[in-house]
Amino acid sequence: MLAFTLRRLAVSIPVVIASSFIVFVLVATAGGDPLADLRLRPGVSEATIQLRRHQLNLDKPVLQRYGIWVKGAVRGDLGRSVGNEEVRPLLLRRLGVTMRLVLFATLVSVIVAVFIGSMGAVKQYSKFDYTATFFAFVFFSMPVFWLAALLRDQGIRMNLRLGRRLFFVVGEQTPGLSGGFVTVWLDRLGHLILPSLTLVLIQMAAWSRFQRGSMLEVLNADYIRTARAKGISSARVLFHHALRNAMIPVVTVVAIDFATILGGAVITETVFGWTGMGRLLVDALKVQDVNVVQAWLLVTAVLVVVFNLLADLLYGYLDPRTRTT
Amino acid sequence: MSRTDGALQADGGGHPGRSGVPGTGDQPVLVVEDLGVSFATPDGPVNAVRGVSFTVDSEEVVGIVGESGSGKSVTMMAVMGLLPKTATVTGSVRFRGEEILGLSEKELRRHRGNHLAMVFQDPLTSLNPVFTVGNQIAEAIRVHNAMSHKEAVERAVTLLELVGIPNPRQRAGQYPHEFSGGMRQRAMIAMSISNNPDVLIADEPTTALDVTIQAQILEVLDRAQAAACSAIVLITHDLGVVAGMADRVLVMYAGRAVENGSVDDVFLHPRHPYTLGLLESLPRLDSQGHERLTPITGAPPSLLHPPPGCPFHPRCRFAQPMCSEVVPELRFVGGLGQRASCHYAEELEAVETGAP
Amino acid sequence: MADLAPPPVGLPEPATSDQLVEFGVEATSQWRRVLRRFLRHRLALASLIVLLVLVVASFMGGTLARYRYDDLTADFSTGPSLRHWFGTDTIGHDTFAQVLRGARRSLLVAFLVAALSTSFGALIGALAGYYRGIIDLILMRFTDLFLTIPTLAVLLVVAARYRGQSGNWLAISFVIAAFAWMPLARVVRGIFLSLREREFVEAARALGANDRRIILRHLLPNSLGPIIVNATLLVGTAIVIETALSFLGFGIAPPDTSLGRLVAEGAVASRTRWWLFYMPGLYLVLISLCINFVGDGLRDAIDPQQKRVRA
Repeated sequence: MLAFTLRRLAVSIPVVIASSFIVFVLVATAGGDPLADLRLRPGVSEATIQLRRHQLNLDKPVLQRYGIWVKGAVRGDLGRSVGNEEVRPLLLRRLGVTMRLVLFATLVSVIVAVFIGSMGAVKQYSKFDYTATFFAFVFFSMPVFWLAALLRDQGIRMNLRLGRRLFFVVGEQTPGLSGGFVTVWLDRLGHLILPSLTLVLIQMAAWSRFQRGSMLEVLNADYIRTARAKGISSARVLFHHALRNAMIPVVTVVAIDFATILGGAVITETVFGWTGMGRLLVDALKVQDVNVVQAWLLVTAVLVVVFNLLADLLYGYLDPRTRTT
Repeated sequence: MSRTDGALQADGGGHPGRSGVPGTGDQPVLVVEDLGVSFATPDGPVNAVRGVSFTVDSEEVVGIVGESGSGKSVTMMAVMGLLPKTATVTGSVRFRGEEILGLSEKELRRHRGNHLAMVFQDPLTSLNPVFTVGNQIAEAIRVHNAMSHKEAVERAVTLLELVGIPNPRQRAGQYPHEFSGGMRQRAMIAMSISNNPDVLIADEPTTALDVTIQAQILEVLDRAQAAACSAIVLITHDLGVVAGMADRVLVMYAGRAVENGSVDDVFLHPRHPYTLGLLESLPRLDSQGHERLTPITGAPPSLLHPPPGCPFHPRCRFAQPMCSEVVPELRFVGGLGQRASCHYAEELEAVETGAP
Repeated sequence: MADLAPPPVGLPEPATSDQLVEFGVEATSQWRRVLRRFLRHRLALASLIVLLVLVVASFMGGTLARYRYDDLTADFSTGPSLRHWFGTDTIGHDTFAQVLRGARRSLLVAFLVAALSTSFGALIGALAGYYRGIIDLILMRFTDLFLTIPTLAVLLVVAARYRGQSGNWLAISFVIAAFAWMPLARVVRGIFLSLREREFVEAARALGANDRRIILRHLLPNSLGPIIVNATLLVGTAIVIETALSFLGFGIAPPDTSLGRLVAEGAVASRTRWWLFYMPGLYLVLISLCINFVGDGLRDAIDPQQKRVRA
């Protein structure tokens, strides 16, 4: 198991490096022009523009700029934002907020999806199965932004009708809240509900269908027939033998979809006004804040790679057949 | 019924609490009468098994022979109660006098893996890939015995040794994919005899394995049978396997039992054209050089729309008008207890396959 | 024993071969069978019809609707009524006309993206799967890398360049297509990888067929099924991506409009003028849902998998 872990770790590092390069080149070539704003302003001389260009290293070749950037990144210096804030602490602060949303939503989605998907497989073609499948389709056909805005709207309406603030629709916590650890975190949990519900409904829809398929395949497998032939109870066959196998592919899917969930977080944070990583990207892009954007993409890539690594390890633990590869 | 008394003895010694002497048996262990299985399909009901009757005496080996689709596997799956809900099972199956067809799941589970055990065709897919072999065998034991996990694993190691797996203790901690095909099947056999079953059903145990391993596995089965004092129902399409191992044989075609009797009687004096055809189509060691094989012409019938009368008549070279009208019954013909379902079974006496 | 033993005395002639009962199988072309299976799938069929209605309405809407999208009527901020099916906005635009116009643009982008991505993706995937080697290596590494970054983020970064530029719908289409071809390429690559080992390819080569012929006449037709399914689902994905971009302000810019932009504008007023938010949204969801059902139905029709539990 240890050897397996080390091998996976070794493979991840080049991936991060390659991602960082692609990310940088992407922003440098296809991204917007950081000087666009300056150019549009009246009364700005060409000399000023050229000076700024030199300050931002834009007059150097791409590869060299990449080298400068990477050197800085390794040291922990990711530059400064347009608002002259240090990018690294800004990013890390925002990251914490987003991780709350993303991890909570992922966890809940997996649990619900496994439950619904497995039930659908066991009671195949039942009313539950058809209903679950239909709603799964409805939810994963829904764009994140619309569902988010819809839940926000309904949350506001519900609040008005009840006359009190049951649903939190703005931000990730109440600003200036005084109180101990529990108070703060309960408040945060309350703010989590609607945004994570958005992500959960959509993600769980996709995963439950996948789990259903996986469970069906497992239930048809020969070893389930053997288990029944041994006289094992249906419950044990289901939970101990079937579910254990059916969950293995799900781990892979969750890992792959992690990047998608982050994308969903971008939209959800924007709608619900969270000060997380997601909204940071949108804001930064609006003002062509190159440093923030590059750092954002780098951190995200690292995050996804780490998450995939963890998923790989979990997969290796669950499926002994992969440990030898 | 706990089996804590039956500590498996590698030398196959006597077991307390067993009725009867091996072979003769005062009462047959398994009696199947007029078994019928039909599946509900979108295109209509499919009769996979019709009117099959046979008995299995204690500690004897009964072979069930037939082509793919003849219903041999379905028959034994019905006996074990392992068919899906789309299957309707009729007839009677009595295990040691107790009717087990129609029992509830809970009651059937008492028998499964305990008195009635089954070994399946493909040992790779028949073993759960995420649990160790030792664990799976231990599980089979603990389902029917009050025993700690440690004790059960010990038993598992003993069983693995019995079936000829080297380094059984180490192997018990390994996963199925770390075993070779032959070893996996040995492990499956070990698992199936772990509770000293009265009947061990082996569904094509060697079909998925290399020819070179087949003989070994059959030998393991033999050893396992002796150790657990079980009867074996051996399902196969290979006549050679039946000839080598079985005491009695049941020949199935298109879901029906066409011939039933001792191996000697059936092989030397076949009383059904299908059996005759099967035996004739075998290549023979004593044939004089360039003789062509004689297959049975035609193809098995559709079980959705079976032909009227005898299911074999479209391919039978002796078919008569009555054969396409009246379904022949499985009736006694000559010999001791040999039965065949052919209107002209007696006339077939005149056609001899010739003794090997 | 040389031949069949002659019929023994006492039994009349043996059976003739016309008595042999065979399976009755009629030869139907593969595509006709696919069609038949699709038509049996009621939900997919219904969705296809609804989808066609929506698409036709969106593109013909200009001539059919009572009002044009830029007509300023005297009804300000009215809810849905018989005159204005989807209500009106603050300055009197008919929301129904607006929605149709937005849908028109969004659908156009989606179809364009699907066409571009499918052609490019199939080409690259075919080459990678058939020739393997360096093309395959580059393709796989490339797609793997882009899996580590959220697609939306990458799209936002690239689309930011065209932000607010009028008439940018074509650019946006290309931007989305530039990243949407990868999953399809992987699928086609997978199919080609497995197919190229099959006997019929060997046979074709033995008969003297060159690479291009094998790819075009043998391998590609066999991959057509999954390609079609993927292309269909890609339309659905593309429209959701485009509307998401437009919602955030990085997609289609004025004077054009998209369903995404309409939703964004409506979201602000959703509490008091719900129709401005819900109508474009529901229209979009309905399109997306129908595409998914149709795609699923196609997938079942082309590659039916009997996943009934055995025991």
